Amino acid sequence: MITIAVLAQKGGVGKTTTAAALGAGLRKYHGARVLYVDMDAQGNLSRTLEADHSGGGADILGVLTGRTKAKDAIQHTDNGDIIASAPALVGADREEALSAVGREYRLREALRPLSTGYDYCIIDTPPALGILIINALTAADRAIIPAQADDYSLDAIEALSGTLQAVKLYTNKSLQVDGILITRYSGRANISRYYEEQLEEAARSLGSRLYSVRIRECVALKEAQALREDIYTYSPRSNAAKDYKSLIDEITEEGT
Amino acid sequence: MSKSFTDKMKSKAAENPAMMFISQPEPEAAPETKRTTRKTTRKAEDSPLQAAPEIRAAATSGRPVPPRKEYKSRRLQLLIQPSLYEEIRDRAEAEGLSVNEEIHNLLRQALGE
Repeated sequence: MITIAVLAQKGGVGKTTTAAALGAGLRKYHGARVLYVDMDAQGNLSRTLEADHSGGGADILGVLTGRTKAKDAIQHTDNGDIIASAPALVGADREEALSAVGREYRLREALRPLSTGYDYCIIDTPPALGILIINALTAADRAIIPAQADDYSLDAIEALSGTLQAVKLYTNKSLQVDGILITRYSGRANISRYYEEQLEEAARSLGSRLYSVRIRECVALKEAQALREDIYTYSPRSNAAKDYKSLIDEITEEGT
Repeated sequence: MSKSFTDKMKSKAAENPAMMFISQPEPEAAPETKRTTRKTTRKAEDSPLQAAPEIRAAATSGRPVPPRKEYKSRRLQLLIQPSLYEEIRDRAEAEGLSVNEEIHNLLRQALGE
């Protein structure tokens, strides 16, 4: 199982949209067995997959705190298998079980028994640094960083850079930053071109790459989310479907 | 005795906010590391676990601002043959681009950029 964490220490850059599209595309075009893990308290990915994320059932918080086994927390939906989010994730940093030594390995240990049942595990993360992001990066083989072509996203990558280096030094030496993904892209904005260069430089500094594909701003993504459908089913000819398909080709063509 | 490179790296790691969520791998070294965190006056750029230097320098010491004249697009009215327009439109559609973007790309290619 290849575990991919989609993260950015910033909101609104398309983490959840990317995680959903990545998983759906891997299922649709590669026939891959995909497990989603929603670690964002907002629960948007869980909602998109129509999973129960009310906090009343088995969820990722139960898995992290050791109350539930990961296999028992998986919900099987028409849109894929998911370990859902929970509203109480907002207080994860204050959870007693997540304050103990070794707390950063909770997710990695929990997912280990599932490694033969899935080809990919896609982890959606919260937008702020905390124990959840550390757990996601410690469990991940690869990290994908969505970013808009703007100044604030560069700031977020700067913040994330420190987190990545700490994780690689202490908890997950084999973590690979797969790439920075430009989302919500508008090629008509001249300012975008400038920030593309800046993001390319940032990717190099992280020992990674800027994906050649740009995920263009596309209303079909919002419509697909509203209808709880994946973008490839809802609008296969949309720019977003084509762009995310290209991303998957770019990611999988390198020996996965 | 001077510290090894690894020790220095681990010591400086305490300045990284991410370290608040990572257990210290060497418990006996933890108290010293924590004191360092509180007392330190080192500049952020001293820490190898802070942002990569290129990014940090750009972000903190004044990332170059793009030239203002490039902030906005110039609008122009272009007169072309209908057949040429249709050719460009078909090509744009095949590539999943707008006609505007297609023309933009073609012009850039023609100028060797």
